[in-house]
Amino acid sequence: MSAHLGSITGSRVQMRNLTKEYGIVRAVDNVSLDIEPGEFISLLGPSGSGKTTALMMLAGFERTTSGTIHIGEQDVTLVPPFARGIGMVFQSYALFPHMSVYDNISYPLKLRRMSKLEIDERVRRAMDMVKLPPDKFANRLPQQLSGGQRQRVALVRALIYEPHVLLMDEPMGALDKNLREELKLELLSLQERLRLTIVYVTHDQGEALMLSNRAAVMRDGRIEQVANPEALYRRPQTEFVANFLGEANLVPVEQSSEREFTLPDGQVVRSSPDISVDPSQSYLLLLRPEEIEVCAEAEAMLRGRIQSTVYLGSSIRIDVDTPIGVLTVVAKPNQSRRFERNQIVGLRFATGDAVLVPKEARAG
Amino acid sequence: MGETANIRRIRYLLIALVALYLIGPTLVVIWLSFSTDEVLRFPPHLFSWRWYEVFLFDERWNEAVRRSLLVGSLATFLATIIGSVAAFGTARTRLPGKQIVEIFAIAPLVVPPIILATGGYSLFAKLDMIGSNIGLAIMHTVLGVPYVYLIVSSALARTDPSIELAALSLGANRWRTIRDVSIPANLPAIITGALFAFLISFDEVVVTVFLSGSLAPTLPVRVFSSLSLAVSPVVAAVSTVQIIIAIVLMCLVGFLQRWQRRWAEAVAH
Repeated sequence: MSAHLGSITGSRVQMRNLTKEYGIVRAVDNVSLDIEPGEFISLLGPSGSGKTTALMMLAGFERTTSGTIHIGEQDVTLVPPFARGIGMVFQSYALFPHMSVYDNISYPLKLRRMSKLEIDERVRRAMDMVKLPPDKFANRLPQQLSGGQRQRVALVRALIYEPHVLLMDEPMGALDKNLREELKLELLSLQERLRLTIVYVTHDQGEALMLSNRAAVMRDGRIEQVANPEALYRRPQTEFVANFLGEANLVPVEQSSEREFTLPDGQVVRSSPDISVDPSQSYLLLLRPEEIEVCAEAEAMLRGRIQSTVYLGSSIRIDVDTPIGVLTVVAKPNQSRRFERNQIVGLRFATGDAVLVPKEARAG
Repeated sequence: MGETANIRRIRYLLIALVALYLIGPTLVVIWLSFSTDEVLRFPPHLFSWRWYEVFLFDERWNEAVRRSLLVGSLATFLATIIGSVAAFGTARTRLPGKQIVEIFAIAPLVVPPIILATGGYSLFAKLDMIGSNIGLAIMHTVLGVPYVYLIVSSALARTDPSIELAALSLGANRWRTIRDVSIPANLPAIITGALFAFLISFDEVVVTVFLSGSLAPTLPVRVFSSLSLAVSPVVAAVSTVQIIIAIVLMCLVGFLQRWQRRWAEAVAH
């Protein structure tokens, strides 16, 4: 595929104040997002967060209630899907059941009135690229393929006409775990070679962190935060993002001076200088489980009693009841060290550079 | 051991009795069709093909067959289009009033034929279309639509609704999407619906009696009227031919349904 598709350069995609209403429900609420050419961006969120609706508007399957969409230089807000020059991979793969693998993949090329000879050459090369040798697979029907093979056919069919933007709607959802890992790696290498712009919708934060250059975390139709995976994980800006990406210990703190915050037990942490703090707002200290260290009681900042342990193979997950609340800790077990229920352990964590997130006002 | 064998024997006997009850009348008709007698009587004297010859060479019967085929084809054509479009409309769009379309599409199945016949008669009498093939075909279309609608709807419920979106994303406009994806991916169901529509028209009596006027009647109406005039075994021969046509079409339906079901498996699980 690289020989033909090597020339692809992704387009810029811009969503401006995009809103979609169904009756009184706002599925997407004033979303703006600039996607760089060649960027792999995930729309990440729980079901009902509006991520799929946003993708459907990008594809042109849903009309926008208000707002605009640009692909490249062109305003495509009112352009029908078939004229947008996008490729799309569906969760169900959406292979045509009445067409062979070959006919499925060649369909977009036929629509583009390419010669039979060129179509044949391209389809065969593309099939080889994704390890579906044409001799064996060209004449098979979709229902004669495994899930992974169907996924590959869907991907090739969406890429063979060299679209500038590839939209993917939970494409790994129907696959088992091993296959998913393998396809993620393939997708990454494909993306690196082709420099496509990819918009990837998922509810799986691991998938989003692994694949994307940036991810937009969505909730109730709005974007909570857009950032690269590390920033989303290390410096979440909201309580929701902190909880949605990985495990989070959130400890209530009181502001005592401009950059100093007091924990419930009286100890003080200093916030990182790039976090701006609004004095009228309550804050929570974010401690990721792997940032808390189990240590000898003499060196500990905190002591606590182990409530439960879960053995995870390479690590062990411990819930510790401490004066500042129950903390989840991930520790490395070893020969000399065992963790058991009701055992008293010492804990410590860095107190400079603390990450604080605003506490959400909850109704009820 | 002996007891279970007895139970099994009783079970087979019951099944045989029910089967006989269901197809008995049909077997009697086939039997009568080989009669050598001048009039229908039971049991008949066997064996002759004479009534099949009458059916094949009598101009009045030929006329009835031609009319049945003409009206049937026209009604099948219209019912297939209307029923399929209604099925797609209710299954694949978010248009308001879907339930109303559904009710209208199924209604002819539950409204007694005599009511449709009366209504059709009043309407077409006003339009001076009693005895016209077009009028008859229109009424048969009404009767065939529910079958097409239900069969295509159930196929659509099983096929992946994303395939049409996929075609659009790949660059097919709406017309190409319908031509290349919507229709072929549901073709077995559409053909099945068409076969049913044809069968419905091909043995419809009540509405047809009202609407055929003084023109040559369709095949089943001709059978009906010959029964009330002179009871000739030719009607048994005609019925046997109709039974064979029905059996062949039903075999075809079975094959088409298996075909459509295999396509539904292309959806990701």
